[in-house]
Amino acid sequence: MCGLHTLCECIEDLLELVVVHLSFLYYLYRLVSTHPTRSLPLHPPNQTVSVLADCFRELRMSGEEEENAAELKIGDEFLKAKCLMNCEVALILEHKYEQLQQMADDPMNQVSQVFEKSLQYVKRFSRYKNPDAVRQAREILSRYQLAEFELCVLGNLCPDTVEEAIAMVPSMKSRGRALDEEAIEKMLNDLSMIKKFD
Amino acid sequence: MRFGGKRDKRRGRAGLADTGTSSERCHSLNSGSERPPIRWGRPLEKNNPSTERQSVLQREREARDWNVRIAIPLPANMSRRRGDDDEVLEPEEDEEAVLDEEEEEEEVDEGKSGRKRRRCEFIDDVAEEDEDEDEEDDDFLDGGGRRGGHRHNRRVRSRYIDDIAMVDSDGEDDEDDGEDDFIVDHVTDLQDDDDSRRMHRRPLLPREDDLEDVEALERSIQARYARSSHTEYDEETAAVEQQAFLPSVRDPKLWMVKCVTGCEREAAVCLMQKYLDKGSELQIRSAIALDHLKNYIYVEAAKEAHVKEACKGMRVFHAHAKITLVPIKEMTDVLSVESKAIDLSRDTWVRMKRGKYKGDLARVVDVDNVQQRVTVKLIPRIDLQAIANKLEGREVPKKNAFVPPARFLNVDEARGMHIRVEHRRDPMNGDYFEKIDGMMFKDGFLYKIVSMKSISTQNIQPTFDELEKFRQPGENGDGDMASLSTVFANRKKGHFMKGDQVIFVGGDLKDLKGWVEKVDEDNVHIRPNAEGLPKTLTVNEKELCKYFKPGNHVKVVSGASEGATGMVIEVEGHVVIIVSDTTREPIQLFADNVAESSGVTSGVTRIGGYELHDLVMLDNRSFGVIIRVESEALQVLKGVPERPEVALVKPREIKCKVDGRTNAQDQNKNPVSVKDVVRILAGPCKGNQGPVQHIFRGILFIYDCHHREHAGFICAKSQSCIVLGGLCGNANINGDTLASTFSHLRTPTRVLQSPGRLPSGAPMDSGARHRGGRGHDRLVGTTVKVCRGPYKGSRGRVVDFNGSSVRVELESQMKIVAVDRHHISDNLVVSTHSSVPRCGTSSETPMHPSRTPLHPSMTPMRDPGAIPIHNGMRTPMRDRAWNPHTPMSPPRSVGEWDSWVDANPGSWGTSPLYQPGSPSTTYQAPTPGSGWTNTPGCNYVKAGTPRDNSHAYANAPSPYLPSTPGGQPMTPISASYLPGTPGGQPMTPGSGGLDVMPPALGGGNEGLWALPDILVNVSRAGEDTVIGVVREVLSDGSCRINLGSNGNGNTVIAHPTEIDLVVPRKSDKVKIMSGAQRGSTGKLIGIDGSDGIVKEDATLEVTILEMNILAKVAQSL
Amino acid sequence: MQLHPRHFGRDLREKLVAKLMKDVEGTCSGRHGFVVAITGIENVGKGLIRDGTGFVTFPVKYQCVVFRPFKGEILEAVVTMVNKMGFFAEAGPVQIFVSNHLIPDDMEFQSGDMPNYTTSDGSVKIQKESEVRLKIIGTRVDATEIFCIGTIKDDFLGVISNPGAAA
Repeated sequence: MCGLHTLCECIEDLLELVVVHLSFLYYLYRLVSTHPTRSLPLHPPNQTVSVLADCFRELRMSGEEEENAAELKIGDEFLKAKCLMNCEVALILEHKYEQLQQMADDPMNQVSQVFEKSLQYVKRFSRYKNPDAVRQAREILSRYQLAEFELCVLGNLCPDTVEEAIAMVPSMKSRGRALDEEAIEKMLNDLSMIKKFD
Repeated sequence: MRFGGKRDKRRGRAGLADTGTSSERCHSLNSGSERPPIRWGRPLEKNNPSTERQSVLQREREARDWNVRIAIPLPANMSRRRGDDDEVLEPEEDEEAVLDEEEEEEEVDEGKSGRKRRRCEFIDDVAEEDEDEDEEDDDFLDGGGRRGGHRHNRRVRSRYIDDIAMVDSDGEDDEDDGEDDFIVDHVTDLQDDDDSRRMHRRPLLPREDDLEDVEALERSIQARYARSSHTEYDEETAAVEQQAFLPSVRDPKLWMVKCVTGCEREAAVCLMQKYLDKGSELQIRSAIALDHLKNYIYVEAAKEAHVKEACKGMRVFHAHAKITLVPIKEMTDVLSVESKAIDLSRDTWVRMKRGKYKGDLARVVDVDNVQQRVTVKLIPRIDLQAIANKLEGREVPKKNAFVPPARFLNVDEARGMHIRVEHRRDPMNGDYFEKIDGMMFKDGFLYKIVSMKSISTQNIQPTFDELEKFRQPGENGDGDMASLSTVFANRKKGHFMKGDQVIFVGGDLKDLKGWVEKVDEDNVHIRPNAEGLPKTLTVNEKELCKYFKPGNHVKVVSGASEGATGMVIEVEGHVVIIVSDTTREPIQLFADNVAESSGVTSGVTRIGGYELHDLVMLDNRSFGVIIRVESEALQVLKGVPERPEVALVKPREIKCKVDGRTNAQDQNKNPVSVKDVVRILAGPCKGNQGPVQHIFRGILFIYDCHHREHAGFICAKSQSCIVLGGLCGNANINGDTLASTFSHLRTPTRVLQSPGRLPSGAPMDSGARHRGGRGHDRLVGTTVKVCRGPYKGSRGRVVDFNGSSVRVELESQMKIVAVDRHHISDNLVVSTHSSVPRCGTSSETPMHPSRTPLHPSMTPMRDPGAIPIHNGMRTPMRDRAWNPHTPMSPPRSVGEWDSWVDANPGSWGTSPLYQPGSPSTTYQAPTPGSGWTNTPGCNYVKAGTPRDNSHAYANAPSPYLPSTPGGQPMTPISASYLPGTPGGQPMTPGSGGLDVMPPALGGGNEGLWALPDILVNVSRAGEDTVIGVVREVLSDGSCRINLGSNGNGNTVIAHPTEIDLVVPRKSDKVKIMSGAQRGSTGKLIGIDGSDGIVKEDATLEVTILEMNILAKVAQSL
Repeated sequence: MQLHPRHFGRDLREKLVAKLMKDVEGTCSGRHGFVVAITGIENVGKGLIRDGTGFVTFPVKYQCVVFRPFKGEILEAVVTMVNKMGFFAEAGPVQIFVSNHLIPDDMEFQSGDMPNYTTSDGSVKIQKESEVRLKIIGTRVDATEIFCIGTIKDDFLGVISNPGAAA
């Protein structure tokens, strides 16, 4: 299980980078799981979140809650959680994958379908390949008072123009923040610079 | 006024009323008293009239008591009924006159001017009180008091008498007394009650001075039917009070009596007549015939014996007519009426009630209230051919049992069939019609004049599809508003619920959205979704429509696809389009018909006798598979191979269900039977493959779960398909010279069983060490059962394998799930799938009992679609049955192998009996005479003894081996038979490799099936070994090779024996030659002894493979 | 997290973690979406012995990467299948269906060997393996998978690259 430890370290690294959160949503999420019965282990989050879930349900009753990422309505826990960009996830998953490969003699350590698919996906859609670029991207984006989620959407999609960026992340505009078009443009420019040097 | 009164009274007395009003009457009766009884009627008193007056009264009472209710007078028989009434009532007119006088006298007696009525009432009360001191009865009578308040004349009075009579009836034993009491005045008592009574009892007469709304209504009904209702509903009566009027155990019961069909009314009238004749001997209280109820009438009486007595000897009742008691709770339902008739107006949607258009939607074009006729517009269901035949004087076939499908008339088509089409102008409205055979058509619609009776106007909920059909290309839009308005008019009560999101569709607030807070009758309290508006708005529900946003998950709550769930993808006004969760097909619906929901259901799968995926006959020529079941119709994919043709049919349009289990031949003349997996080689669905579900008239219905349309069904000609697992063609193989060359070598069996799949949990390399790829690959294509985890109990086909998990395509659900490798059971051969054993295999079972246990192992080979066919053989295939054979799995030498391959395909293709999978023991079974031996070319049959001479199979004896048939290749020619690769049976038939696979590869060498693009060493006799790139693999197994490491040299053709793979080195690009990943490329990232670590390009997965199945890929690529 | 007594010993923690990973990774829940990978164990609480079985339940607090699409979110995905009702795309483990109602009107379905949606001028083509940018408009989560409905009928949505170009 040494692999796992390294992995944790790796995560910490990323956190230092102010990593993490991709819009399409990989979250670093803290969960407590208690599994009193055999059937439960599959859904570890259930119990811990039940309180939250209740609140959420109440919201739902009012008819207004309606999850909508465009308005940054994605539920409290996800708002609080770290959101990772595709490229970040790619780093994490690849790292983990390598770890697993090294223990490949044990087929039990083979990865799940979900893992595999996710890895393929994030690799295919990673804008920044090398860890430094990823780090820089997050750094740039984090200068702009963006929510985790918004940050990741931008990081994932790398819009070229201000209009595009606003179309992708409508909440940037609607929340009445001091985020004017100039700032957005600068941000996009910075991002594209990283890409160039990637 | 007078006249009206009389008329009314007559009605009252005769007791003939339509159901439309009779329920009201019930109400009024109920409302008029606080005692629970239905005033359905009463037993007749046997009063011996002592005076003339009494006798008159009694007669009148009798008549009135006889509330013979006949439901819903229809216009057609109005006159007749009126006649009836008259007959019955005629004498009463006189009586009435007498009564009038009487009343007057009474009035004088009482000294109360203008209150004759009161007097009667008193009389009633007296009678009642005396007789059965029942409080409720008091009240009941009191009801009558109200009338006293109105200046009613005799009419009223008679009414009282009626009441009295009823009261009397309540005490069952008081019949004798009633009469006497009747005349006694108890003025004082009654006074007190008078006012309160007024509250309940409403006047009977429609022509009151102070007309109330209900009376107006009553009048309108009266006008329509020329009848008056007996009494009316008292608006003031609260629901609670009404409750009290419901029948209780103390009231007479209602009995349902069977009578001659069609004579229901007659029966009721006869009973009335009988009563008139026999007087109070009859102890029944009323008789009711309802128009909508055939074969039965209701009789009200306290005891069954009374009913029997009454019915005895009557023609209209059977001698021992069945008499059943109507439960108290249902009594009210008998006489309640759905609702008031609504006036038909233009553009109303109606449904036809009878004839061949029964159930069809129609739209009212014109209404003739006088003649009670309606002109409706329908989508015609006519058989032009039949008309043509008829017009030409040819034999007209007998009435067809099935109804022609609804479709628009095409005038040109009709003309083409030499049917005379007249072009006429309608004198009434100036429109032009096409006239064919007496039927009027316009724009393809049939215009039909029908009686109002033959259409139903209540609760018409046109489905979206129906409306869509009605909407002709040219008339977009204009019909919409009208149709929608009627749709809304037919909305059910309680349509909106708290929390529903709604949008305003009319009024000033149009397009405002909000949420329902509360719903009263017709009004809905809305919390609007906008600033600056009051917190709640109260609006009429007609202005509202449910609103959904794309992405909402909804459930269909009514209409054709009721019960289905899906996600909203688009909202266009009232129409929402959802994608069904199960079929992933879009469905168009009215917003009204859906409700938000989170569950997933499929909706109905069965209608009438037809079930989803049944093969049905539509008419003599067409047939199809049911691909969707809606609540009233079925979608059928027709058996037209040229293009997918879907028809929406009603169950009655289907002639019958067909058992599509015939056989057919594929392109290569291989037999195809149900459950065989075939690939389609031509037609619109070329390339798809799947198990055959039905075979009918040479048409196959194939289910391909990857085909998203038509519920995955594809229709194809059998000739344009090939059976997978069969061979590329019999002719080809039989004629193969190689086959004969090698046929002298007897191979005991093929390799299949031997290197079987690894036992679960066993490290994969143990078995694969010697040769062959990963043992797990063999699992791919097999049917497995999940024995643990969330999918426990389900079965499916393994489609992919990686690491500790396998991806299983579940049979029960159309999806692929990942299951832990350890959670699947090995004996997957067991399958519930086939309901009918395949003919070939099942027939042989009895012949070869000894083979049975082994048999299933063949299934996957033949039928890689994961649908084992041998359900007959399920039981024996347990480990016990298996194990004995395991060690014997006959190893085969290379030479033998070839012979097997060559010899076998022929038999394979032709008969499923010769599935090569059976281990040798099979052949040793003492069934020499069995069909087995007849097989031509089936060499291995004779070679009974397994040989243990091959080191390659050293690993075979694992007890699990035999149970893993699935991994085995389906095609005898595939690389799996190569000694070098016993483990990784690469060829899934679906892989497409079939066509290119040469039937055999040179024996003896470690060669694998060549694949294009790999580097090989060509070593021909007498020549140096040259490196080359395989360009093409020819059908005989030889390869066209471009010499040179980059493939830029000469092109040569080399026999497989002459080529050798170039062993790749680390970080070379490689192609996997065997196993499930055969054909895929990757990078060799490491070498570990005889194993290579390969990172596949496509999946990025790192796998460990035997080096000898890896081929170096030419650089240039 | 339940553990069999036979695992007790020095490497109990490792066993526990291994089991956690095995049980949890790859699962999907409505609230959190797919649990893709466990990245760290924060702490393992005190075990609770279950009566009668000898199993011990440990509360385990862990970190993981989860993957959950949201309504309204814009993301990129790979087209996996095209038919006349629309196309299916995959973004990692998530399947997304884009109905033809949600494909711009100027794109027409073309059947054939490689069914695709093409604009009238042929400049844009959606076919298998195309990469598209789409917006999620609805999600349905069940025990094992998340299914989404997406749209490309909006500004800046649509094809990013085609397989031909990408290769």
